[in-house]
Amino acid sequence: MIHQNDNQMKCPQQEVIEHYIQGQLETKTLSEFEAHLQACQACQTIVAEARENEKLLVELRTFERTSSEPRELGKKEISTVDQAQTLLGQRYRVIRKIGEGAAGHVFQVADTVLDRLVAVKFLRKKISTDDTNSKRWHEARLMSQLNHPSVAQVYEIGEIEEQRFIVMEWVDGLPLTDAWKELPLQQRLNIYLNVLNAVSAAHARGIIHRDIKPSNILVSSDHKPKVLDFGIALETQYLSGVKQDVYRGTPTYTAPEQVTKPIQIFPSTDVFALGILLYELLTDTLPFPQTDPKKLFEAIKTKHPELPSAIRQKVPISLQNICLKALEKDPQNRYSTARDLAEDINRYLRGEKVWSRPSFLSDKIQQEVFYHRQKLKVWRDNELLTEKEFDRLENIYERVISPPDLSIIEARKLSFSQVCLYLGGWIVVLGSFVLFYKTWVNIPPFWRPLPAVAATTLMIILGSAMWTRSESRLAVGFLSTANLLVPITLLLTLAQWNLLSPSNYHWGIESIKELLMQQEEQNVIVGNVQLYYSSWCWFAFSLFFLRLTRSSIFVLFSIISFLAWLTSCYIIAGMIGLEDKASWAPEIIAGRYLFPGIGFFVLGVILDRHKFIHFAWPLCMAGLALIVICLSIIAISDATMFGWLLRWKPKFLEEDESRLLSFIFNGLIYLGLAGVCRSLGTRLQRTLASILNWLGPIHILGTLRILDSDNVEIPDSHTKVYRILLPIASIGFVFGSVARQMKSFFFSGLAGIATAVQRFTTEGLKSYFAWPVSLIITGIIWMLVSWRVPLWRANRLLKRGK
Amino acid sequence: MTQWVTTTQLLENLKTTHDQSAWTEFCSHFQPVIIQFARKLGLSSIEAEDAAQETMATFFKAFRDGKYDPGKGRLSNWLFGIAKRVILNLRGHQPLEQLIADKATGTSFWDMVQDDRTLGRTWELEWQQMVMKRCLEQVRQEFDPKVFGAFRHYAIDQFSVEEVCHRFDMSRNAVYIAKSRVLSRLRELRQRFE
Repeated sequence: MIHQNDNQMKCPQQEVIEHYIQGQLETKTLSEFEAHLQACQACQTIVAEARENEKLLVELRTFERTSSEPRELGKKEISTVDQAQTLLGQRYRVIRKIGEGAAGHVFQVADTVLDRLVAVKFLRKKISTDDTNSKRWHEARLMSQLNHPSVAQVYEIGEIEEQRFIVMEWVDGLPLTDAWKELPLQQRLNIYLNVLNAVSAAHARGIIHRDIKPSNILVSSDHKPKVLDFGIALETQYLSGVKQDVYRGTPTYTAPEQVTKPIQIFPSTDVFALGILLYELLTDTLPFPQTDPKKLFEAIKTKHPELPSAIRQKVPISLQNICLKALEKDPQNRYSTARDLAEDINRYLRGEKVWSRPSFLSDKIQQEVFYHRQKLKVWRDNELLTEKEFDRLENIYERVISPPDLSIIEARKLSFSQVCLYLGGWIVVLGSFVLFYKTWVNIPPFWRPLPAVAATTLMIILGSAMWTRSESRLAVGFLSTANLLVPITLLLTLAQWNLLSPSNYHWGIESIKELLMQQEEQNVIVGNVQLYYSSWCWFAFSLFFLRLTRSSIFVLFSIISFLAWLTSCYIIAGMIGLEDKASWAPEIIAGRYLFPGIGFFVLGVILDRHKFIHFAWPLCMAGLALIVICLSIIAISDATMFGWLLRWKPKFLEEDESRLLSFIFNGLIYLGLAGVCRSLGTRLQRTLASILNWLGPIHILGTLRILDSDNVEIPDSHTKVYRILLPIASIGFVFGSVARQMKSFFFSGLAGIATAVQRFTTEGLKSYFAWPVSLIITGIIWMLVSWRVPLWRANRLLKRGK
Repeated sequence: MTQWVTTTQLLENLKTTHDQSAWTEFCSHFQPVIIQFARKLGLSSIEAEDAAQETMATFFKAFRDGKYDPGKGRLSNWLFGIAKRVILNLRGHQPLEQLIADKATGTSFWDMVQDDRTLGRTWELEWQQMVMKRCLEQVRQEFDPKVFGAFRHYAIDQFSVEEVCHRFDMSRNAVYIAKSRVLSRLRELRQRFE
């Protein structure tokens, strides 16, 4: 098109204008054209229009690129039936497009040669132009690796005109949630279990699906599910190499770690999606129903779903717990793989107890318990609860918020494997005991204890290793065997290697050499000091294992070892089986027991105040036991309490009398200590105080009763004084109980009065009938007095008020 | 192929003719936009069709009641308002299964923050595409296939001018003129459509 103009230059051809617009004119032509343009109105309009056209062209090209109507094969993705048909050729007849996944478009296709329906997935260019073969056929490779009945099979892979496709098994079914809509729970669970098995198989091969959702699980009419679309699946071995700063997946079925940067992917990421499916299975609703994506992700990251049982009343609690555990925010708290989840579901289906507890529930319980405990304190302060009731409830609440470990419960259950474990342990213990029981003369003494030492060491190492690997069920078996082996091995070693034996150990008293039925020559001889140290170590080990495992078996072991230790204390102190009482001094005993005892006790109190209650408890108990043992030893020793404390003994006191009075003195110490404990006010201290509150009156009243007995050689005048003192002290205790509601005072007081009455009856008043009568009358008077007492007290208060 | 009509004409027809044909024509223009829009927001094809139908029905009722005044705003905005309400309402009862706009990467979900501005942009894009498609189709019919082919190959597919000349047996200038004429007509049609 050529324009004519009044000006000297002819209007240029369209070609010049095109080049001008594109900025492709040569300098000379450009200046000429620009000069013309200045003068020519028509050309100005044409250029302006051309510029507008260029803008439109840009839009048009964008539109063409994004338009879903492709024009030529090979240049765009295969997204229509016609394109697919053209590409696949005669063997396959493309029936319809089924949909598009993350990795490409999928068609339903009839394979005319093998006469079957297949699904053909054309891979997106972006994915299919990757370099390595393994990446190019990522999805097909993963799916064919799995070869699981619940994973769609890959028949073939192919590439035509640079377009890659996967021919897969055709699954004629409905998406999972649609398929189970009308089914009862049991059938839903069966389908769900099959899905779990498929995903477990993937996890076992180190494949994480990453896009588990109902539309990727199709269920056939005979209720068989097939897991599809491994398009964005990951292999755990490549996890570190994969760039994971992009989110992939489906928002509703997204795990918290997928939307928390840095993005992390674990097999438990699939478990979360499976948890959502289970939630839908139980309630037919989504746990996170938010529609706004920002709110949805926020909820996934921070909010706990509503309890399924709150939505559907009939939801079994076990399944609810399983579901909530699968939906834990922290991947560490979730089932680590689909297999673990499947195991718990199977357990439920078999009717066994399911132990999984979602941490979210215990959080909730802890909150509730916290409020309850606050209330308890108010109730106690308002005297709606007594201290004892308060402590008891506190104990119960503590048990509620820290229930025993799941594996410990497993360890307690007598399953076949567990029985084998314990039986093996028992045989090891028996073997070591035989080693200890007999002296093996043919073997040099040095080698004799070694098998037992090796067994014990092995048990401790294996037990600790199992524990660190969270195989707690086995760890408990090994550690409890080790716990039984410890005293045996120690005794055996000490005896065979002649360590701490009476002959070379100077502060030991006469040892109990024939403790363990050593009649035959070949038997082992154990010294009491060796016994003492073994049981001490045993006790320490039990406590350590108890702390470590919180298993109840170690509570039992701790108690037994504590008793053994206590017994050995008495043995070493010469209170049991002692023949030579003269060879020890109170100072030594005090050094050995009293000061460590006080040390333990004080340390326990300090730890208790700093909330280390688990350590404080055994320390205080052991400390108290040592103090009581020591004070008792000192009381019965030749040097009396007064002698030991003051190096002075009143001349008017007989030796036996002085000794017995020491017990009264001990009783007073216990009462003083109880007062101290009570004033400290913690739960442990209150428990200790109540123990001491029993010990005090029993010591005092019991000793008074013994002082007034025929067996003790003291002057008659003294006996009479004690006889009078017993009822007075008893009545004192009875009334002393009022102040702090001390039942121990009250009941021991009543018992004291009974023994006093018995003593009076047998000694002075046995022929007077008036004695029992006067007792009855006095009793009635007391009862009547109690009736009037509140009135008198009220009157007195009124008078005082005036 | 439907006759070339502008939105004003379509609305006029809807007002004056009371038969099904005007309504069908109106729907054939705008329903695909709504369907595409709904699909982009993660609705399945069936749901998207439902949404489109409901939008059209709501629009028709409002239009018949005289609530729509072309003087006050574009038809596009009016339809967008209705479609958005219908789709969000529909999606409220649905699991957010496929909220990803671009399924190829799955990443663009982050960009699909569902505020009104983003939604508006998505809608506008669909609308423009619909308009462009209509105009392109109209232009294709109006021009000689040779001229249109030369335009398509040169302007859109960006083949070299020599190649196009050879293929369509045209002079270079003729190719440039074809481009200019088709684009000018396209522009004109687009302006007239709304």
